[in-house]
Amino acid sequence: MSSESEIRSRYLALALDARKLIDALIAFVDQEKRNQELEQSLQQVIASLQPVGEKKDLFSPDRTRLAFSEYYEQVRTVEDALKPAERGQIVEKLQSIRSQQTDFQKQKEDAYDAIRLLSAIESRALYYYRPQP
Amino acid sequence: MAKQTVLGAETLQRDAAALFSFVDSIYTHCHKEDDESPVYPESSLRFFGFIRELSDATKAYLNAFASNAPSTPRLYQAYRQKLDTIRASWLEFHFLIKSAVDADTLSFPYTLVQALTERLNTIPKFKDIRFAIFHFDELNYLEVPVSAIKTTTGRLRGIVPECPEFPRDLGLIGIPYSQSSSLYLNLLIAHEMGHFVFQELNLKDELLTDMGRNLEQVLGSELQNISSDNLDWSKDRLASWSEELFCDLFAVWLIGPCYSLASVELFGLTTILDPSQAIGYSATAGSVAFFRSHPADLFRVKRQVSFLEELEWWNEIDSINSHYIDVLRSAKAVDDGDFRYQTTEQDYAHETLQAFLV
Repeated sequence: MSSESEIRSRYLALALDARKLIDALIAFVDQEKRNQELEQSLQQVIASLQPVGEKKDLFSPDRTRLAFSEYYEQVRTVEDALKPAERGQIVEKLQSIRSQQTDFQKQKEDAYDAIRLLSAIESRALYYYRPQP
Repeated sequence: MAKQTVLGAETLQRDAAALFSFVDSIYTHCHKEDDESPVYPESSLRFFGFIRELSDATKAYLNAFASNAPSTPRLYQAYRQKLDTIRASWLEFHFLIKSAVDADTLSFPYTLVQALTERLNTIPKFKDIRFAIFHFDELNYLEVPVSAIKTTTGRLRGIVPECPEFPRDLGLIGIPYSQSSSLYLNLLIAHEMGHFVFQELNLKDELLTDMGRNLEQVLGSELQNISSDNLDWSKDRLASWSEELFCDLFAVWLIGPCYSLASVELFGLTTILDPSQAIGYSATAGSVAFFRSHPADLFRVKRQVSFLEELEWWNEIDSINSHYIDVLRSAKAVDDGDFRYQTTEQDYAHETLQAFLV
């Protein structure tokens, strides 16, 4: 077996990666600030969360760059935290913010939704991370 | 029913202050450079220094946490949750700091670690590497997750501004505290150095394509019918086994046959010797079983023997009259088809193992 603490660290990594984008999205909706951090995080999280086109893409290093899909436990945590429809939804919302093809108000609403979904992932990852009494 | 407290800047301030105290309590355990005893190697002092800087950055961030809160009440809950993530990161450090404090120079094989480090330093890319040592309760050297702290601190930097970067030339090694004076078993530290090298060179990324190709070769058209998370599971097993095998071979390169002999001792592999069998051994079920994170003990030793041959070590030790050498010889003779991986976690365990053995 992998050591328990090693697996727990994977959950923590997922919470931290989710938080990084949540922070950038909070700054986006609250201060209407679109910085490089946001662009970079959006790109990486979309690449990490979107369903793979072909099975061999699962073995692409790009997909494992972030903790949303680096390890099996992380993939399962995302699946546990979100309903099947929400998994597609989160990628759509993030893509919408990134592409800037809708008006700003719509982008903000998408950002609120994305924050809610990412917070659910962060919260579930933290729940799995905590040592059980 | 009592009226519920209104959530806002004041409650955020209070929650941030509670976390501040928690971080501060961990910080106070770090050894300071002007403390006279106990004595720590320079690498451990650097680790403590790093944690102190990390603590200062976290506390400064928490000081301003409430005043930097978003003005939109709708964002309160999402913002507040960040404190939980920072707390979880510090729980991780809490565990490691106690382990580092316990590992003063009188409590671990300092000279041995230094000698192994000097050998590693002969590789140009790793010429400046030093290792901080941790003491753990776990007996198994091979399951100490110290590399995770680098990942955590790297990611924490992404959400807490001004966090220092983890020192590039500092590696972390954990040893079981009960074995600190056991020279033979401490040779397994060389394996832990292999983890550092594997991660620094991003070798997992390089191996991913091979893993996919091997699975495709074993599964054929069935590959398209397997769910993504099952394939993710297989990928993790292959990645983990590959890393462990790399670390074994790295350790053999670093210290030669001593590592393999230490492995025989740690795994208790002399039990496979069986004079009643014509071949001189009978592999026990435990010795040929792959685990979730590690290849089978006998498989690991078998591959080490192949590498010892390649490095021209084998002829040096083959004639030694020792039942440990008999174990190495037996491991060499085990057929790959004898190895097993059984789990109820997923349906493609056998195919995953075959992809590893390809």
